[in-house]
Amino acid sequence: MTPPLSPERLTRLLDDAVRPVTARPGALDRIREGTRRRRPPRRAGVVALAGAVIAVGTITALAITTAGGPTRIASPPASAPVFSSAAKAALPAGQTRTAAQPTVDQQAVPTVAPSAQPSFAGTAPSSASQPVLAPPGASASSSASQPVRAAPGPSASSPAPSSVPSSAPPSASSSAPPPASSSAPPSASSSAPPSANRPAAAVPSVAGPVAWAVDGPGQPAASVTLAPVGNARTTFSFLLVVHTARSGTQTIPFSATSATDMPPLGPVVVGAANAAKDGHTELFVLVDTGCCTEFWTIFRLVNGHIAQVKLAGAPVRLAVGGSVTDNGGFSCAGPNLVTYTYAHQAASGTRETFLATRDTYRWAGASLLLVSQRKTTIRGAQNPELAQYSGVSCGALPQYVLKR
Amino acid sequence: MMIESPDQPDFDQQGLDDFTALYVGHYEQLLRLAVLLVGDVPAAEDVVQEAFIRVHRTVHGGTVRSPLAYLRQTVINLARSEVRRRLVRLRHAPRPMPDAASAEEGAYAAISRQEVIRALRRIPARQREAVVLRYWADLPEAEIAELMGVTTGAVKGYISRAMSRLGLLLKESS
Repeated sequence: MTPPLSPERLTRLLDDAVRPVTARPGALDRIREGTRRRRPPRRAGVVALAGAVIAVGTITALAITTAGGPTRIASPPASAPVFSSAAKAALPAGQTRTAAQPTVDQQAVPTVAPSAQPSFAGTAPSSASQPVLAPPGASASSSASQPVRAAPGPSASSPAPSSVPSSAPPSASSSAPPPASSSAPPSASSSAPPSANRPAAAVPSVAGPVAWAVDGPGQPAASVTLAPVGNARTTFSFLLVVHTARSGTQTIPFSATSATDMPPLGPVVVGAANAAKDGHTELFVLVDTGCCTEFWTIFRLVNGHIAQVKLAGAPVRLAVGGSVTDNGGFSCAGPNLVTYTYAHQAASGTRETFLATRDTYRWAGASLLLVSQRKTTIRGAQNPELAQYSGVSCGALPQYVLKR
Repeated sequence: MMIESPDQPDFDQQGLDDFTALYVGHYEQLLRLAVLLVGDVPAAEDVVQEAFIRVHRTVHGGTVRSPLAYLRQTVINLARSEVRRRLVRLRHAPRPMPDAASAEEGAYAAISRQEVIRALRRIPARQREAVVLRYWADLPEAEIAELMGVTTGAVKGYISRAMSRLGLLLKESS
């Protein structure tokens, strides 16, 4: 007698078996390519075809009627029917039509009312309903520097995977929207905010569209969304989905260092700036947060493809902000990207010393190459020189996204 | 950078974004469903990509009310066709020479080596569909019946027989 397989065990086995299966990079691009290749025939063509069929039927009926007897089946006239009033007007002056030259003007062609356009609204969330947050403390006066949140990863019923300690400024958490549930049924959280009442089938994590002038000045801006890969509550893998007029939709996978290092609600599009001074703006995305420092990564257009910029072979993480002992920032005022950091080194007597570093990087495709490095020791916590080694000076990018 | 106004969404743009959202939200789950139904990743990818292409066309034709249900149905139908085609190929094709596998293929092969995947391959297609939809996709029996085009009673029968057979196969393999 075989012991029956329990449903729980089978579920576990099935889950384990397919857990490693993930979407390959570029799958969406291949689907889009497939949809382009198999575009359905134009509606105008269908209408014209339907009109032609009706016209032929009408002509045949007319020919039968005018031929004088039901027993004689007439074939369509040799001359082609005239379909439009313009063609009708093109007849030679004085020529009259006979029964064998009927006209089928536009009135004979049935008009097709425009059908209601389909919408996914019932099953997939409108991207317009996704949260778009201004930075709590950033001096973002225009939408150009408004960060757009990506993934409301944690569910309303589970603690948010956040590394922000309890001592973090209250503005960092109080201004953020409550995390949305991605798995609970709509009735499961009656006290949850409206955004948490989305059905499980919905996609809670696609941010509102952002326009990014990646193709350069004068070109249509690309729309940008960030979306989690896999379970929105636990993942730290994301997709940057960019739709450009020139090169279609591109999906670029990227990841945070870990779920606990991510911003409380997932990566945030910080803004775009012409950092490399080549006319194509670069996109800056906040991916990791420490207790006091934010880490931004960069995406840019390289040979028609959008890529995450790398530094020494790894995705770039620009340190922004910090505390009194460590700080960082960067500047793109010149043709190069210059990063600044300082870190507490030692205390000698009553004076603190800080090691300040200024690295200059050259843009080389999807990489940043170190051109020069300068290290300086600065004495005194109140030394105004320290201020030169923090802050962001790059187009309209804000100083910070989550803090201050 | 500017935020797009949501007040006047262009239809094509809106449809495009919704389609992307559909992809992001469901592609991976459907891919896993297809892997369980056809037993290997490359074929499952073909099935799911084809399903997405079809749903894109049909949705733009205005005949689909629930794209996810349509996608799931299409994946099941295409997986069924794939399994049928594969049986015909196996019957007629000569044994291929083994190729050197890439690392990625190695990962896929690891999936194919899973005992439960191998066991699923050895039960009838209908039973496989029913049991996967019930215990992996967590769908109610009524919905499975609708998807498979059979009665709820038939679904219960498929599941019961599949569980007995899988229990036996998994016991054998362990």
